[in-house]
Amino acid sequence: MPKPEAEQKLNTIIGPASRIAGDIEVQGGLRVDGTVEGKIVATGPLTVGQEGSIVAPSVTASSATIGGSVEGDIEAPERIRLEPSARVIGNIITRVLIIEEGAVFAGKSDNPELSKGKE
Amino acid sequence: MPTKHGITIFFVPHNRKDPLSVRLKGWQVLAAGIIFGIALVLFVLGVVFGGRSTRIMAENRAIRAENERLREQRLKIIQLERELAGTSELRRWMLEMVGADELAQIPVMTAGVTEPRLTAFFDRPFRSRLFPEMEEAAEATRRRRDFVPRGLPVKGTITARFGEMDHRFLKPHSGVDIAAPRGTPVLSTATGIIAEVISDPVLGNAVEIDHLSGFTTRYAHLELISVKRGDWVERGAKIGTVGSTGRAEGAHVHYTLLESGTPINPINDNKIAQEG
Repeated sequence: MPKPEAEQKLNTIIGPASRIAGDIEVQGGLRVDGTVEGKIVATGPLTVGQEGSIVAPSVTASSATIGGSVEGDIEAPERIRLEPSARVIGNIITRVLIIEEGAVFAGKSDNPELSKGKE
Repeated sequence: MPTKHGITIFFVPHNRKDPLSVRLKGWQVLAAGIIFGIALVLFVLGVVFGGRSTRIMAENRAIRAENERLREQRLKIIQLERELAGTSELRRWMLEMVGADELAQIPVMTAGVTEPRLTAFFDRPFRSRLFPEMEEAAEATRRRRDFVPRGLPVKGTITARFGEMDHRFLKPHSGVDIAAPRGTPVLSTATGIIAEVISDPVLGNAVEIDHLSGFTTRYAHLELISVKRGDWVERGAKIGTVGSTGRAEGAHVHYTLLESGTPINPINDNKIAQEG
């Protein structure tokens, strides 16, 4: 399902040494280089920089590239990539999961296609 | 602090790498714009003129190659013209080989070269490389032919023809008398060996040459003799000078041509031209 260009474009950056406590809803892409404590919903791709940190009950995006730390469940239907510096504690739901060497992942991973088939 | 005009350029990677932000002040933006503009212009010029100079260079190469080709063709043409000019010479040689000397005298049309410098160039002694074997054959024929007496030994006035009644001796004239000023060189009419040098009351100082081809020639009434018995003489070599030794009236050469010991007429009556 191709998404409109605007929803794929990166348009929000939470810079290093910034801290947000509360839920975030973004139209389009989001990059986190600081600290977020709260639920995240983005229609575009989510990038967490190597200094970025998220503590949330749930993180939702179209796709996710994680280079920092995430505590909480991540749902990104298109793709989730855990980079070597990633540290993820929580469950992951995606069609394509990439875990690079050195990444830490503690949790379950699930594929929405397969779950659908089971039901 | 008053807000200064300017822009920030943000480079945001799509992975964990830190974003890079570059802040440009107003004049820096301008400078960057100018530099970018200049770079763009240079690039465009480079593409346009680079392409043009490349094209010109390619054309130059093509022209040089063409020049080289034309030079080669010019040399070929010069060579051909020389060969063409040489065919007249070649024709003469070929006629000589078949013995058609008279035909050789007929002028042949030479290559249509009218430019004086070129004409001079072609008129130089020319050795055709067209048919080397023919040249050799022609040379050999020419050499062989030199053993057959041809022409008269001296340029002058014929005072007594062959076969005319000689009133002093009451018999037909055995040769031709050629009057010429005293001291005029007498030349051998063919290549051969001096068979005899005699001093006789009738013939005076006389020379006989054996031409080793069945022909013998005699030259009488000579003033001086410049050869001795056994000498080898080429055709045209000087054997003596005109005189009036022996029984002679006035300076002349009595020239006798013998074929197998029998006198024959040295002057072909069909041929008015007499060779020296």
